[in-house]
Amino acid sequence: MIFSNLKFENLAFGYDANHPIIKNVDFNFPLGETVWIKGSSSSGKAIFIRLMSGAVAPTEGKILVNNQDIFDLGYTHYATILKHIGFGFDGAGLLVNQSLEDNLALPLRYHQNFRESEIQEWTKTLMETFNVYHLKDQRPAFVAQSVYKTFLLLRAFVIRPEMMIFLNPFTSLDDCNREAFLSLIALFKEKYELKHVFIISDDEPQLEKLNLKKIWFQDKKIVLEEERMAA
Amino acid sequence: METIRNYTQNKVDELAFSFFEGLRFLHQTLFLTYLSFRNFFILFANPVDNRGKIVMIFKTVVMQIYFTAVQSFQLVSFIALITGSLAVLPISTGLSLFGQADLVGKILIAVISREIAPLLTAFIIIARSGTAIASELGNMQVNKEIDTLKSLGVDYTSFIIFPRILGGIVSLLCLNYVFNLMSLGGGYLVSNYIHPFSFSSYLYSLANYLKPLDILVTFLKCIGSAFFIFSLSISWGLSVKKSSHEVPQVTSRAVVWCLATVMFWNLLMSVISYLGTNI
Repeated sequence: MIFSNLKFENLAFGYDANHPIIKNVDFNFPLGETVWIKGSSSSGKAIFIRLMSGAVAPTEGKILVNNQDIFDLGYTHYATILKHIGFGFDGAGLLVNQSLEDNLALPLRYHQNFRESEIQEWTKTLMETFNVYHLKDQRPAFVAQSVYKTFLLLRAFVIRPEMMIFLNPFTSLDDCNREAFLSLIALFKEKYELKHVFIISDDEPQLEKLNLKKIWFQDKKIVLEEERMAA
Repeated sequence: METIRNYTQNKVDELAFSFFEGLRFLHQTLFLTYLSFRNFFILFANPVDNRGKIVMIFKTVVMQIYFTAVQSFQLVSFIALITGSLAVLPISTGLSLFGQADLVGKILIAVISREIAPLLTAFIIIARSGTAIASELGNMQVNKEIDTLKSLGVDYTSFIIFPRILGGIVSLLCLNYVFNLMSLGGGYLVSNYIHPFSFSSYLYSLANYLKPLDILVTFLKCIGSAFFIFSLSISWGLSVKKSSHEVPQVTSRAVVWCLATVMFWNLLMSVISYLGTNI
């Protein structure tokens, strides 16, 4: 297993250093299950995915993966960890000068020494789950928002990751594809190495029925649902 | 940096601030370029494990050569033909008046091969590829595509920067030789029309005066120009923060910087080579 723990230590982040969005955060993220990350608008819950993807760096504190600060590791070493995390968020868009299929295949072609036929077979399987295989040769700018979003989500699955982090995965998806998305997570947990899933979403009805573990971003801190209720 | 700028009191201060700000940007650009080459060679040192990465990088190099060299071939050929004709016309006419027609080759080598070809080819590349790369990378920043690559564990320095610079250097070298061929060929056609003389004597005249130093100087000019054009265009493109309105701004800045550095580099190389010749 790649991830034995994931921890924020005295972490602060703000786009403006004088106005931190989260501050003095010490939090051990629960692993080995699907976690629903909640919080009101502007509570900073989306920062989690941006910090983990390396898109932004904390203004203070550490992000510890297996007790190692990811920003001390340097990008080259952290990239070896990133290979095991699937990110699905609108901020990490598709490459506009490549076809949808090439976008899906990019992490496989870059990181793995798979044969091209294996890559095509695997991406085809994933695309067929959402009935979007016929759109594989389109460029991202020429498809509907729902298709674009579907490929964003599929790209998170393509590397068969051990950890997945999604930000508002249900936005722009129809009911059928929402179900397909949740089924795919279940399938990957059962069949592949997927162990830790974090879903940042405001979609109450969709996630409420799954009875997931919840953590909250509130008052510039991160708390477990149980602690929040107790308070 | 904006707070430091507040201390400027007059035009001289503003000029000094801009100069040092420029040096800072140049430093960042050179370091980013160094990182891209370093990271590529780290991958290249272990080709078995990094086969996929190396193949993808070289595909991008090939695409860059296609976009820069192959697609510019006609434009460069056309401009070279006109330039060669325009240069040869007064030179051959003037020299013939003094009975020095055999010096045409010497002057063409000195003017076209050493000075005009590397400079004009670089200008064409700036206009076509420098602007394209600055706006492409600027838009990639706006669309968060660079962040995407980072989140996928793709090292953007070796994946985005390195192939563009390498492809650009190869392209500029090739286009420079195309320019030479077409301009000297075009020059012959025009001069032959006005003052007929044999192709073999024209070739002999060129070959007689073409020295290894000329080839070396042209080579260094092209490599340096391509390096500055592509690294600066990339760096300006990546300097876009969030908004698409920044893209045309950085593109025009990239063009200005590329023109200035290319002209300075060509001048520097010419001065050094002529000093070397005199010594």
